[in-house]
Amino acid sequence: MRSTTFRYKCSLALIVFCFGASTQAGGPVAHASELALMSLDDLLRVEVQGASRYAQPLADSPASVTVIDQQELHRHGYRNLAEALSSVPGAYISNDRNYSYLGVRGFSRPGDYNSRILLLTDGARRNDALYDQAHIGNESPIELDWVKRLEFVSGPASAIYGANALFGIVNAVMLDGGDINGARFTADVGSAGSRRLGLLAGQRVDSEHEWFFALAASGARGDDLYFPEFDNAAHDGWARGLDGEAYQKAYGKLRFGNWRLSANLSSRDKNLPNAPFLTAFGEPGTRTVDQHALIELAYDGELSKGWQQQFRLFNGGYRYEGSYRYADALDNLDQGRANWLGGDYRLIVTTLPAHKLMLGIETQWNTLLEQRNFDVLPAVSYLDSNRSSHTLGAFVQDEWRVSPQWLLNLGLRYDKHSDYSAITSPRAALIYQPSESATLKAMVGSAYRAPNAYERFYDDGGVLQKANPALLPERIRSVELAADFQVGQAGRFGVNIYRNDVQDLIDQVLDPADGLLMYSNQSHVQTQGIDFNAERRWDGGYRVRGSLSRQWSSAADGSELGNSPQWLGKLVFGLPLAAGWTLGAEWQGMSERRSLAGQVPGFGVLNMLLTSRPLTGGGELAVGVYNVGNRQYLDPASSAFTQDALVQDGRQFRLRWSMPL
Amino acid sequence: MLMAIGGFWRTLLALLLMVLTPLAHAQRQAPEPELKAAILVSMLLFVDWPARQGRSPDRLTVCYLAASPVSTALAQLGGKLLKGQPLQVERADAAALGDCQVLYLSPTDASGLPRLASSVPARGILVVGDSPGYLQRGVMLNLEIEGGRVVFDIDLRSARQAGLTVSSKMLRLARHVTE
Repeated sequence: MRSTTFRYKCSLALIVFCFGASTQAGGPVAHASELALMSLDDLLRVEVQGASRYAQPLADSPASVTVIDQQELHRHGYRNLAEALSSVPGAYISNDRNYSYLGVRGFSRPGDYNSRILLLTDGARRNDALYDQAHIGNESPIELDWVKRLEFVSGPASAIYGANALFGIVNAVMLDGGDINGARFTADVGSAGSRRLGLLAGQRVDSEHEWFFALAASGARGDDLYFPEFDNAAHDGWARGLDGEAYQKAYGKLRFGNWRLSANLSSRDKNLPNAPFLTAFGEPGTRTVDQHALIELAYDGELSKGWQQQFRLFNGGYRYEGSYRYADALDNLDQGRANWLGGDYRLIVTTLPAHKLMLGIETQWNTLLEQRNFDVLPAVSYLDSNRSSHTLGAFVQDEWRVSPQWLLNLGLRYDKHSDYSAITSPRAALIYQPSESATLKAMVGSAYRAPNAYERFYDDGGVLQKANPALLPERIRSVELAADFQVGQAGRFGVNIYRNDVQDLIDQVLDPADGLLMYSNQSHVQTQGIDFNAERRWDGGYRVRGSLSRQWSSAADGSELGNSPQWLGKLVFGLPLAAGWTLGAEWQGMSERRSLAGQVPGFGVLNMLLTSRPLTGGGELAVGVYNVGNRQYLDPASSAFTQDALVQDGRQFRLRWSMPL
Repeated sequence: MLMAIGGFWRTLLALLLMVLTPLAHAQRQAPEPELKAAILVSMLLFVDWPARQGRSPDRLTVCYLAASPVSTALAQLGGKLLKGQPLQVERADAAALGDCQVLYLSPTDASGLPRLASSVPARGILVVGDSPGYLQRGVMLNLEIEGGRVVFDIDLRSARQAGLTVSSKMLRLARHVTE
């Protein structure tokens, strides 16, 4: 087992080294005479003293958008994208101690690897080409402290983004060099023997040149975990020292005028303690490694004579290796490798009065979509598949400002996947702003997803799962009404009512003929519901954001969907404390959920983060307590598990020290 | 392709730390009126005015109508040299703006905006403001606060109508450019 690759002796030396070199305190106040000497670039980076950092609700956006700004990301100690996203109205996270799964508005299918969520970093697609998986937990290619702003767009957005944007888009707006202008180092220690080191550095050299660089590495021993399903004659139910995790990630970005070059590498190694896929319980050796790579060149032109061009070229890679230890020391390896390259081009035209037209085309060649499954000794191969594919999409969107109060947003997208006939996805949104403080939206849209190579071709040789090459794309149609009201200077209140209808849902089912799992198209599935959300900020740093969601789901036979809570509640708040300390906390609760074989009880969890005032030298200390009440709660498991539900983490602590260099 | 190596990461981290330590900047803060005034003035470097008779070319005149925190901060910047011309900040009457090259409108000028729009000479005056919605009401360059920092929007069409040239460098820094 490889678990912690990090050498702490070396890190300690680095910390001492950093201390020696640290110089300036954070947040000094600049005087008028100093400001007069600064360049425009620099002035635009100065923070306004005491300004409300209220993230603007995106009134013109043809969808409901939740924005989590950098301050909130920082003040709550979210450890990964998944934790931050779980504060979004109507969203919820489940975890199987390997990956985190994002459920949206009652939709989180067991056996679905986040393929209905599109993950973007700075607008670039990050779902891999083989499993279509959006990695949002520690396995994600990015770290949350590299993110300047996290946006969640709920509802089908295929009309712009194409496949995978069925239930929502997660866009992580990454830090730019100018947001750092220097370097920052962080060190964490926490429960379950977890340790992490992170480094951020960046500089805006001048208005044309900017660079940003980030590194992070983490290792955790993991807790001993008890699974009652394995408390039997052969085992005592304890998986000891089998929940370790280690990851390393790097990200870099260079900007030359209108050109931007970014690159990202990540590798995460996770031991699996809960014996998935009928592996031997309590034995080390069952683990997965997920690795991502992306290089991207983007051009973002200036608006000139009413025309603006943007284009992007990218090359991405993903590698998954699952090692599964079976009884009698039989090792099975499950591998997936994907490589893709592509590009997109967008033209924004504003020459017509009151119209903003966007035309785009994008294409992606999935040059490698390899899946292998084999036993090591004796060597037996069960799967060796490589089905490359190609996608082409074209879209047009018109933002028509009919009058100062009315905006009509119409979009149409055409998509062609090399294995399927072409699909057109329309979308329309009518936005009415009767006053500066109210926005009403009516939205209808459709989105689609072609089955991925994993869902179609994966076959483990008759153990658990078989292929279904005849699988068809699924479609979603969505209707939503949204109202958003500004209350006073710093408050807002919103209501959303929605209905989602999915046709030909790609779902994992058991074939009664041979007892094997397979993905197949299901008939109609529906979810509908209502979200209330509100937020308010006060002078002095007090802030509160909350939401309450009620949701009804039904499968074709009228039954409720699995892992689909009827109620979700969230409360996120920040309080300034004495002597410059601040407290960030969030409570999340959900009602009971159906699992594959029964019910998982509802629960509520409180997380808290205490952040110190700036230390001498500009550093900062933060103490996080997660699941403060040590609440025992469960998430429904997929059919990969013997367990019907999987126990989640109890109370955990984390201490973070960060330091500008 | 992309496989990570433990030792490589460690070395890279150490090297990077050594390279970066000389860089030391922390996020600065400033009071809102002074910051806005400094931004407005530094923007004037990126604007070119049409040559015109009868206007003294040896100084850059910024006018305001009513006293406000930003206009007070602007006045404190009077005398600063911009492209060799001293900055002159003066209070002006809405009916007599002939000497102004820049007109700053404070939030309290909102009620007079429609009338004002007709009295501003068609050419040669850059109208700037810092109030939400001013861009739609005739202001060419409008500051707002977003995410705790100052951002600005430009109405390029009206700036061009006034004969002003705005450099592309500034357009790139803008949040929105209306054409």
